[in-house]
Amino acid sequence: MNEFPPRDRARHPPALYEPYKSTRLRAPQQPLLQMPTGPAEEGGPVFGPDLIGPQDADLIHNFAAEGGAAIGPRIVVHGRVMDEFGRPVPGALLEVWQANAGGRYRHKREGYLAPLDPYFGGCGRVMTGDDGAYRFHTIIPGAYPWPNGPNSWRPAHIHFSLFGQAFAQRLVTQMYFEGDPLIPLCPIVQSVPDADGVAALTATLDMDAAVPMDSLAYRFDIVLRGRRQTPFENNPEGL
Amino acid sequence: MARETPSQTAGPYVHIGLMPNAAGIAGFYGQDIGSVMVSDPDVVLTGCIYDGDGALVTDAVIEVWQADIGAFGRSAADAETGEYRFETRRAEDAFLTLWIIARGINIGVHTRAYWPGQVPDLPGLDGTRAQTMVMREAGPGAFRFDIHLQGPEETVFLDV
Repeated sequence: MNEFPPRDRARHPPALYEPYKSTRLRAPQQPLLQMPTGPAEEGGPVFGPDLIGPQDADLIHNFAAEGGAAIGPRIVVHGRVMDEFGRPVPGALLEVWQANAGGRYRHKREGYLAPLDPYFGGCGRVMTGDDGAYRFHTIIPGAYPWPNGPNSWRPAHIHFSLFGQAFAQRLVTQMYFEGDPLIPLCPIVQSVPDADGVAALTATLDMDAAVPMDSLAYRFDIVLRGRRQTPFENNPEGL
Repeated sequence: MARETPSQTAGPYVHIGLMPNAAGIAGFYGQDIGSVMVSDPDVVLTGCIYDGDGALVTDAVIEVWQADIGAFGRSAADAETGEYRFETRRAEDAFLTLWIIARGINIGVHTRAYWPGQVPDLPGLDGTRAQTMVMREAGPGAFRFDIHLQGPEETVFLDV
């Protein structure tokens, strides 16, 4: 019981953030009920590495016909998933989804005039290794307009869903790209309370991980909630 | 201590990433994770999610976790009816753990669905609001749990 410290709510966007209009009718208005974590929150579904198919982490090819490839600037996205105590999170499942290079999603409710790329689905997944590291290939998604204000545009972004080892760690977020001038204009990004949080969502160009004559690379490290260390753990790099 | 990565909304196209087969995008994965909770279900749980105007939330994804039997489910609100659906087994625990994400939800909301007759025993829980966390029986083996994001019937959400 009580294995996870309370969530640092000041780190996250408030439920209601007026400039992001969709929150107005969907944000709970009552305070959240405080509770210690228990067995229901301290465990969670376990997905073995067998879940991941050979092309799941390659969005350039996983929807393309044989011999084809998605259109757009080719990139590697990689990083490490750590917990709040600085420990790697092995076996974390990352599910990602994104628009194509023109800013169009492959979704039946999507109506943006940019065309679909017949070779791009926009869905992938990957699992972290023992060191918490993950890596996948994709294309840089395009910016796109959305019906929030009269001329609202989302910065280029990739959606991430993460399972750690406990349901209390469940997280959905979005990754942005360093230097995108739309970042300061987007109410979804700006719902994050402080600049440090926005920086944490912004992947940085990583030339060391780029593949020469093939793909640029962006680094995106992720921090999940951490389980308190037990007295039996004797990790000199820990607390 | 490092700080957790901030949450962002799942947006309206969450289905692409989390349940591509259900969203009609075949060809990625054999089966969407969470689409089969248990091999021998004996109960069906359905419900809808409502916004502050009482309108159906038809673009949400809801996840359920049953720690006692290690069963995980994921369901999308139906694009027309708004209904989610889980087929599972009733086991020892008094409740199912639920988590809801959608456009307009900046950080996923946690709640619990207690089986009828169970009394949520969370410290500080207001007795009248506790009923928002209890399923109702909708027929033999059928249970209903509607979720209200706002308003007089707002569901109790937990600080998990």
